[in-house]
Amino acid sequence: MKNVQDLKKKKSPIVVIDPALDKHHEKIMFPEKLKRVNKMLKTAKLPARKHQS
Amino acid sequence: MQVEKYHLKSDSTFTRFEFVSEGTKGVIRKFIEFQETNYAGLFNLAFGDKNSSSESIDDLSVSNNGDTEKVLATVISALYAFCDEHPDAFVYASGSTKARTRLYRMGITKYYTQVQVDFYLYGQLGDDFVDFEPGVDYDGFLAQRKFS
Repeated sequence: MKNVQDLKKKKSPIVVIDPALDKHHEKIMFPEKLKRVNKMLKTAKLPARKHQS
Repeated sequence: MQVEKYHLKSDSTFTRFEFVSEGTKGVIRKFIEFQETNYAGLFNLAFGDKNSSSESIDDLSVSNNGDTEKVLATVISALYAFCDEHPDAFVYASGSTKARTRLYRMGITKYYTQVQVDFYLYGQLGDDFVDFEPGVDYDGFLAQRKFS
């Protein structure tokens, strides 16, 4: 079990899961932005991944 | 990163987050989406204001709610939460406008010491991604979480 000190040191925030937000899975909320990024990725020279499971 | 942040709510996959900005202009709902791109394992970070009535998002609005630093810190904390669940992911971010990309760069620079410890960070110059250096104007940013 985590104590208060552990939680204070933790870098990740405490996030409340809200099942109501799952409804957004059906819809892309920023379609234009995604389109732009996918276009950019076609020619981008990405760095090598540092780790992969 | 010991800076004030807003409380985050997330969906069950940690790809959609919501929080409420409270500032001089009132209460504004903010939405963050980690979008899966055509490049496997690379997600685009998008965020903007959520219109409660239409459920639409505006990523061009300038809220001027007097809490920019707190909002940026909250978005970065969402990035930590996302990476905990998607540890191998690359996350790309760029602003909707050049001015906003510059704002992101200033935010990263401000917390660079901490960001450098926790993330592999790259700046985008055209098609190239180079190691991030403070003070350089980039077109976008790419990050992968470091895990020791």
